[in-house]
Amino acid sequence: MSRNLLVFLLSSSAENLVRLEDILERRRLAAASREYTAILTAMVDLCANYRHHYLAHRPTIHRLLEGAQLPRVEELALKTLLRNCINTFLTLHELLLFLPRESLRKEMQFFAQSLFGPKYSIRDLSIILTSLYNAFEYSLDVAIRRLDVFMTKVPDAKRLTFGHVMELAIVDRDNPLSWGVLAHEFGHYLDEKHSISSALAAQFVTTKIRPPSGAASGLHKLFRDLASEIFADLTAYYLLGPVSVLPVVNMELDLGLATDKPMPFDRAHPLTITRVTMVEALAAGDNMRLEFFSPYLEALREDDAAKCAQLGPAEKTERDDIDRYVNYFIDEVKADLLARLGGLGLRRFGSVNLQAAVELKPRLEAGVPIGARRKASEKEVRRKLKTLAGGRKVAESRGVFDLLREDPASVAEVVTAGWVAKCEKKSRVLVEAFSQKMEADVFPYLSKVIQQQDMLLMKSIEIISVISGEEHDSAGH
Amino acid sequence: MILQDIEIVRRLVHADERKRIIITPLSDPAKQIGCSSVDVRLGVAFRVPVTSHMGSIDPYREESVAERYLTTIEVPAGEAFFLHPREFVLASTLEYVRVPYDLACRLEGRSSWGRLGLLVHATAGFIDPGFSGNLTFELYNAGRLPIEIRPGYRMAQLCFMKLVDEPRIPYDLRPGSKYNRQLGAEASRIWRDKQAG
Repeated sequence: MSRNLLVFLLSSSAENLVRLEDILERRRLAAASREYTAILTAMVDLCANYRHHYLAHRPTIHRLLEGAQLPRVEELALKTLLRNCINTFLTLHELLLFLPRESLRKEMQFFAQSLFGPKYSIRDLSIILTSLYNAFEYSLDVAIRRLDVFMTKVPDAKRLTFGHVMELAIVDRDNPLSWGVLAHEFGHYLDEKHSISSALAAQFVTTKIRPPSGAASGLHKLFRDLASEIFADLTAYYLLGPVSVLPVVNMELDLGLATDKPMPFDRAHPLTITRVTMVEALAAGDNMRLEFFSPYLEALREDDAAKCAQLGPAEKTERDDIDRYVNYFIDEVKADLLARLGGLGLRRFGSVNLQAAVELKPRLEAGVPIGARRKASEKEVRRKLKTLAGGRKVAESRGVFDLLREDPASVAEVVTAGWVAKCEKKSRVLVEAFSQKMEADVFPYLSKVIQQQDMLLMKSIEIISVISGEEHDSAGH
Repeated sequence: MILQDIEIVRRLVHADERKRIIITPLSDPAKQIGCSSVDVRLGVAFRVPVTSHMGSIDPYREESVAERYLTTIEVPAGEAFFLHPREFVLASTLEYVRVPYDLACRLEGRSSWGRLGLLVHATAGFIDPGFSGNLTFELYNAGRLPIEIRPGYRMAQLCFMKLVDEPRIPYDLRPGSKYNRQLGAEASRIWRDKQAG
């Protein structure tokens, strides 16, 4: 395993641990019932236990971060730690499913109003927090069915009347960088509402594959599910740009720690590497440079290549065949799906937005919210100030004041700026954390950086929602 | 010496970053910048006391002050928060503020709200040189009817005062400064006083 991949996995694993611990601690302090507090305390203790494991490997982690190539034994020890950590982490998430869950009203409002546009009614959407494991699945009902708790048939969640559910991992509470997941789920909502992908999939099967009658229904289902996922990915890209795929990359690498082989095709989602390739092709077509995100994309490619090398010849051939078919299907339906998406009146993310996000990043790094930006440069305002004549000229003075006006950024720009900053400082933060003089300060440092990043992004998005609302109101009067 | 409008504008774009005031977002500067102050608006988060499960506040216990006493309510843009008579809540400014080392700042109420009986801070209206972050309102309705307030309302004003000289230890460099870089309606962190001895 290369240093880049190991650092990536270490960083991601430590972040997951810190986020989960913070959430559990917050809930524990606020918990009303004693029994509930006891469960959370046990979970917090388990996280603390893993902190100690990390700290026990501190010298190894130090050498890794300093650029040393670790001896095989140390690399394996570190990998085992990461693997155990992700397994425990997933188990804790599964347990959290049985505790009271939260609705993301705030995120739903911000996300829907600022990103999807006022045309979209959000009354029939609800967002709930669920486990990382189930973040791309549907609802508690699916989890219960999987766990086989009741041994009875649970109704299909999609057929229930509570409306469409968009889910987000508990660990990503208040983390706008994970909103690519919500944008993807919003794609499913649009797809079902407007019946977009199923018709295209049916047409593809009928005209391109022409299956014998016995195989038709299975193939129709396969390509319908596949088309639905592709449309959801396209929606996420359309709204949020290339960063929409980064939470998927994160999850693939995190969950992939549990196995030496690549994740199998689940008969719905294209392989993550294929999803990334699709987004890269779209971004290239839209003149967007992706080098900002290369630490993530390279880590995925390396992990995928290493795991593919573990496959037997038959497994490899099967994987290649599936990928080839999926890619062929994507090529066949992508343009039509994008055309349908373009007709829905959504706000499209483009190269201008990526550029704006890159320009916002330094302010974010300085700890200042980036929900609004001034059009006039500071130099321009200073120049105007110098031209002001003496005396009390109201209109002239107000003209200069007006140069200070800040207009709202877009949510997608804020999220993208957050990702650009995160990719750039990922290993630096880890170095700084593990270089703390006191061992006890390592994880609190990480926690502080992560909380500050989340709060800055949430505050920026809050600013957008308030200023955009004001503009909307004044336009209406 | 209190800064007047044009001096505030100069400070907002000052070439020397150490002397620059940051107030963002300024979405309507012509309205927000007054003759010797800048209006700040209400954000979306409120911290509301929940008292039914507590007999008293123990100021030196974190969970007593921060988590159990106050619950967070988010009011989306365009919706209202109703502040009832004799009710006390925390809220925060929409604006992020940075006070340079050679200035101090005061958060003051606006007379239009004062005439309705709305107080914007209970006792803590002073902002030290070197502070960065969102300011916390300590809202109290001293009137006899509920007041409807919404995110984005101009609730208060900031006025800036020139110091004789820069302090030796500004707020951001002071060990144990409790509220620097706060971004929301922060609860009291008085328990830290005890930790600091």
